[in-house]
Amino acid sequence: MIDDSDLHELAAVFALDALDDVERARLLRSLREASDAERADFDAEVAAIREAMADLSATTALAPPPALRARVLDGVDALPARTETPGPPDRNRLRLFAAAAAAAVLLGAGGVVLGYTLGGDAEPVNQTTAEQVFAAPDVRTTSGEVAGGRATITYSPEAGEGILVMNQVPQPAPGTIYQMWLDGPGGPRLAGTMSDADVAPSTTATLHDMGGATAVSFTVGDAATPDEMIGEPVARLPLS
Amino acid sequence: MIAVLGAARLSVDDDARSPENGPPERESDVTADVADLEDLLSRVADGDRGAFAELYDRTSARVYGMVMRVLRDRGYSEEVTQEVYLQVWREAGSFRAERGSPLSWLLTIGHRRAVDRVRAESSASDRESRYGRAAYVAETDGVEYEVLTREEARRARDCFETLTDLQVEAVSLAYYDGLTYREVADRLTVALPTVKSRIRDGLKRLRGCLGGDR
Repeated sequence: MIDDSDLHELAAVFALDALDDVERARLLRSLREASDAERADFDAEVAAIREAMADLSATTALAPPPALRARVLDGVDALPARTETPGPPDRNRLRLFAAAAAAAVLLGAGGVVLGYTLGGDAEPVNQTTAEQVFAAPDVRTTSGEVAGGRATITYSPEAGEGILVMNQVPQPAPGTIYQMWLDGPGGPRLAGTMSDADVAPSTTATLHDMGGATAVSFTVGDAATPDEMIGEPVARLPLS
Repeated sequence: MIAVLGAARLSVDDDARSPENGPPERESDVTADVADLEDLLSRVADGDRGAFAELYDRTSARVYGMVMRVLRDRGYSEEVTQEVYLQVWREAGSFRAERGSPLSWLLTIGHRRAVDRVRAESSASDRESRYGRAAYVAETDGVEYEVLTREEARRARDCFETLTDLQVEAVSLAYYDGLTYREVADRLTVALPTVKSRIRDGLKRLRGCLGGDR
């Protein structure tokens, strides 16, 4: 857990978006458990840094191409009227999928980190992780349906690393995110989140330190509280 | 607090906007104070498309320039900037003036999206190789940051230059290259606490220079 002094110290890297998803989720959880004074101190620090970075943006100001203005305004015109903005997360967007390949008991322990690589199928994942996984003698695969798309995790229990590939999984509704959890004896651990901006027709992510996990579960969460599970898992890929 | 925005030089396509959707063109320097932008945001929250166009005109050079500095790719930067303004349109109602300035809010949204994109588009090793020792805010990467001569830009740059080289390096790797502070530590082969303190102390100095109240 993050203690009070860490909380203050992490304000700077938080304000610069220099935490990975899992560290960020842990920090936000710690913030909710902190006292009002600690939280106010953290918020003030972050706000002050963000104002400074806003000032600093004068040094990088660059007029965008005129055509972008038209695209942005047309994009807004194409949206439905404001009163029809999305409601609460539609938890039915994801459907439970049938379990596919069975796998193994995972080894190791520790935190979980999820990075993303979006774009075409040829897009390289974190090369180190991918190489490690595919070269592992105990490489395994589990896959299933997620929201009408397909998710496959290729992983090595020995290495505790995996590659998640999602194909044709629709983007989460605006304001909502997909959350991925590593299920284990100690309950689900957040492995990462994906916003609508993260989900492409083909989305690849790397999973690190999958120690002890028996499945990867997907939930739909609120983007405002990315580390909170607000609904039952709607899809699960068994790892053992 | 600096309340003046950088120049936004825009020449708009003839067919870009119909007149009722706001000022079609801004060729002059655009400045706005915080209250102006707050007013625009509250009108945007009410669905005022003209106010949205004006907000874009006044702030897009700041957002696009920062995103471009992070992504270093015009196509991606345009996409991300468009996403930022669509999010602004949807979420203007959630802006809270007591929590920060409108420009800070916009750039926070923009930086988050730019960093998400840079982490998605390249592995850590790719990003490391993109980073040269000279990565630095004043470097233009072949892009002409046209407002560098303006007073607020000069002041901000001068303040950034009061940081030590090590602080500039750590802050730039994190903020402009989108590295996590762990990746910064790996990249510089220094301990995590060292990176954290370089970033924290550098930002403290920057804030002190930009305004005594920071």
